[in-house]
Amino acid sequence: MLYLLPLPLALGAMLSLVAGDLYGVIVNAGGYLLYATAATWIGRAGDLARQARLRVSKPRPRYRIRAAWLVAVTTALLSWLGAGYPLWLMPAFGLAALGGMYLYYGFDPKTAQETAGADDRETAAALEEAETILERIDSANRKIQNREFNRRIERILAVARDILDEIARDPADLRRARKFLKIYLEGARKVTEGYASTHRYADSTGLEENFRQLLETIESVFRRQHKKLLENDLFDLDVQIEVLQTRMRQEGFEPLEKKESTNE
Amino acid sequence: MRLPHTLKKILGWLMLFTTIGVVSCQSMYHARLDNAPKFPLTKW
Repeated sequence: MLYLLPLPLALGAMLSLVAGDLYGVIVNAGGYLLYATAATWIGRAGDLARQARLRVSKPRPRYRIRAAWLVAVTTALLSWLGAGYPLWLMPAFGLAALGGMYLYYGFDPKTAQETAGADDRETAAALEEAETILERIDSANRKIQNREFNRRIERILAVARDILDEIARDPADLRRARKFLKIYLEGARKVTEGYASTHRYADSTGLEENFRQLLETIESVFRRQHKKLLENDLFDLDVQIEVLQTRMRQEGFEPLEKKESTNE
Repeated sequence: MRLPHTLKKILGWLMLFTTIGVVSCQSMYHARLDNAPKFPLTKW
């Protein structure tokens, strides 16, 4: 978004260049470059959140806050120098942009020094364990020769990584997501590895259908878990997990029984 | 009190869209009017 929204500035820079207006070129091109820099920082903040799961205790640069301030200052300056608004409106533009950045992208989680403690080590250990499970699911997925299943599992992995990111951002979520990490992630691993090792020998449409239904269930629970974590509302999640746990036990790789086929 | 995630995203998007969108479009508009008198540092 931060690359797209200021595109008129790039156009303005080109128009100024054609008109031979050095001031216009500097203001417009400079403004666009600053927004693009902020966009790059936001991207790096996302990468760091991913890496951070594996080493929560290390301090890391706070790219989101830097990007938010850069956007705020750039917007404030442009409102005066580029858009020609009166000087007194500068702080209003700056503050509104800062607020927008906070609401849309959020600020960085607290640094390691601020959050260090038992919680931090616990979170790091839980996330590392979860990451290992995801890697195992990923490697099992590579053994499955079915494009539909591969895509489904990739989607599940992506949602699971988002959930881990969320826990890394706010370790308080760990307590609420523990059940998910213990039961569901582990369940998904068992099911995927089981299917990967048996599907070549047991060519059965029943097995495929069963696996498809399980993947659908897992994906929907993962998505719900992610949504609930974001909304900090786990009111009914425990119930859902219990229900799905039972379903997994029933569906797993026990003797197959014909089930209602789904639309997909 | 924490705002719901979706509401935060929508509000944040609107604020960014309004501020960045307005200043970018206005800057381009002034650039189009080559050397518009509104530029505070036009003597450059």
